[in-house]
Amino acid sequence: MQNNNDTISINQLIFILMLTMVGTGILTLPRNLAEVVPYDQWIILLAGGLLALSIALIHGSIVKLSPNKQYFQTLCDALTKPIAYVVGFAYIIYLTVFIALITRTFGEVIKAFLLAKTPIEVINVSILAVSVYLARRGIEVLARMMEFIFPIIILFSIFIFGLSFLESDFLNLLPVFKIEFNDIIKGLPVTLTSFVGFEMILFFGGYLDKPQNAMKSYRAIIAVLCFYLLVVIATFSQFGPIQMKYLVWPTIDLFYTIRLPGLFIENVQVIVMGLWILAIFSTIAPMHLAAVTMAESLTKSKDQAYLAAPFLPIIYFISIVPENISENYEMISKYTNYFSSIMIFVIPLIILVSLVIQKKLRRKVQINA
Amino acid sequence: MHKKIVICIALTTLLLTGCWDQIEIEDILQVGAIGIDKYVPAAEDNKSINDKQPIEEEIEKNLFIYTFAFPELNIEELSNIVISSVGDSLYSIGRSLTNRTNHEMIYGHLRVVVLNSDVAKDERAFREILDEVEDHEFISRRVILLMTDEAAADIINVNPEINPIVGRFISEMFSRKDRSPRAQRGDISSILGDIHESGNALIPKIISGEKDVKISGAGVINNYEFIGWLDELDTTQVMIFRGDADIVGTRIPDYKGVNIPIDVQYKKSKLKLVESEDNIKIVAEIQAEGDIKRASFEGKVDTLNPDVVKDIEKTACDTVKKQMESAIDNVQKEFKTDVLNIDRFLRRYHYDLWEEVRGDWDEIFPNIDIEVDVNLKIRRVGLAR
Repeated sequence: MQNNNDTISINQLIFILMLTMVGTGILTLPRNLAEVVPYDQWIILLAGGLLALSIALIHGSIVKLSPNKQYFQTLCDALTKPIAYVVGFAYIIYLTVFIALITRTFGEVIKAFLLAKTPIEVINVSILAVSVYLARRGIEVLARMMEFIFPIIILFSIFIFGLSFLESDFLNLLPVFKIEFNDIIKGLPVTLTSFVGFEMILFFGGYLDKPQNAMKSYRAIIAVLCFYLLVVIATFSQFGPIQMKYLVWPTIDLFYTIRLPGLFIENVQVIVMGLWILAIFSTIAPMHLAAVTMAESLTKSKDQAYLAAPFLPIIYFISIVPENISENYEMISKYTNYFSSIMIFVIPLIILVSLVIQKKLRRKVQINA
Repeated sequence: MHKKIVICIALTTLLLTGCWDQIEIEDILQVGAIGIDKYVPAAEDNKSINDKQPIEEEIEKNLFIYTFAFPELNIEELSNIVISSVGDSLYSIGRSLTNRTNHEMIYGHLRVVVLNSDVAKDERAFREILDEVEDHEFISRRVILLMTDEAAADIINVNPEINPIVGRFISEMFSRKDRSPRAQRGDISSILGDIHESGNALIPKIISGEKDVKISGAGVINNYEFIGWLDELDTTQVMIFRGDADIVGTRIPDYKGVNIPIDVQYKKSKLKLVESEDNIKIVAEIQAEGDIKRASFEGKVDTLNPDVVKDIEKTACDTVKKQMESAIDNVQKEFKTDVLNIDRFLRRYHYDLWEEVRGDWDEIFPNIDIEVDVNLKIRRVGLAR
């Protein structure tokens, strides 16, 4: 165990943030956008990205204001101890349920495309087991794992999305600039859902070797925004906004349309599924570790390793709560619309305000003294 | 110790390749083509496939005859195995066929789906089939969808001499870039796109011969229903209008007593909306370049004379324009179906107007003015004058 030198660099943190954000949402994002407006979906995406960016700056400044402190410690400083316990516990519930819903989506997709005869229970438990293994090892191993996964995902996905452009029709993106302000507001929750995961900086910011760099984490949002723009433009130019509404997982369908004579494999989606499993794993694992570190602070334990495994059965049982895939998606959208926005936006904002006021007061006291 | 375990695991994964959900590759039937016909119980023998059910109930159940073609494995000479069965959906047939074959059917390499026109005439049946294909996890969106007025099973049963695997033969025909646009793009992705967009589409028509098949013309789908066949010349013109045609061979049958074939390369056509108060008017600008492929040996037509070339050019323009106008007239007056994708043009470039007309587009489309402006330039004349 390397508990004594648990530090990561800002670049490693950016890798973790990027990979946490890119997860299940990528499969459904184009359809969700198409359901809001029949045109200019990319503008909604940009607006959502800007909102996420501003929230990320809030998170960044929290980390900067309370350097080298665990998130729970920050909560105690900002909200007093009893409230911090409640909020910390809420965060654990939030992360657990979120991982569960992602796991369920993961299981459903894998069952549909790859392992039709494998029980979903086995699929879910397997990915969670790997995640437990990583969560036991702590932040350093996670960061190195993400550094390792990142180039694989990026290189392959740019190559594969590039292939999809060979047969797409960019006129499908027309008309442009028709969107009204109300539509943008309506579409914001949808896009914000896709950026969920950047709150990991709150949990992992305490491990930064140079906390003053925390603000740089906005780069992760910009990178992910660019990636989502690529996905949205690729899928919309292939399917058009009207057909998109009828496709459950448009991003997977996109790869069913790729045809390239002389390609060494006929079905590119095999590679895509491989990448996607990595992407999901890199969403589940950081969230799992975040929940574990929070539990560690709440229970005041010295080692987080033994706390990782107990999450597995809890997450697993929540993941089989939705009766079917439609209910699962319904729950995800409600969950992210309400609970996520509180946990990601409202609470950090309160913390930031409280920290800033405390800092000012302290300065005043110093001046007066 | 750790390293040894990791190496062992890595090596075992290598040994596991080729194993997929506990099915050996020899036990898989790779369905290459599916033909779908409407099941009509023969009236005279008055027997149903299931003796307990009266015929009327069977008709109500919307039964189809599915015909599957698999390439035969382990045999030097390529050929197809064809199985046929009656059922209400691809899924239920797949289930019932588990009692008829010792192999597992998978659709991952399906290339072609052929629909009998009777299936497409029935809106409910047609929608069911389309959704079945779109919903299926393993059916690729590159599958070619075709229609025929013969029995679809007959098409599936053809063993083309060039490549006896009928599914692959047809799909390779469609992937040829230089294919003459006598039938439109057949991949199900673009057809489904069209149908999702407006309920209208063209689906390529296939005709069977003794030893081969031919794609020619298209079935017109209006509001999720098949309403008639567009012949191959009209289909070509519609393709040119939509900008989907690339190389088209055209000819001037009688230019000063000479039959001149011209190889024409079309550019993407440009549509324009002309503002007028009483009616919607669309002007299509069609640009193309042509090569004269033949004149007459030591004949009257001197292809090195620019004036003659200009004159041929003009005649060619008129010929193409006339053909296209007749095709457009057909589409507007006979089929009353917007397969020219003008709805899409309006939605993309004139959204406000589209919002006004989209509700009654079916009634408006047959009466709009469509003007064609053909601009064909002849660039090359061959090696002899």
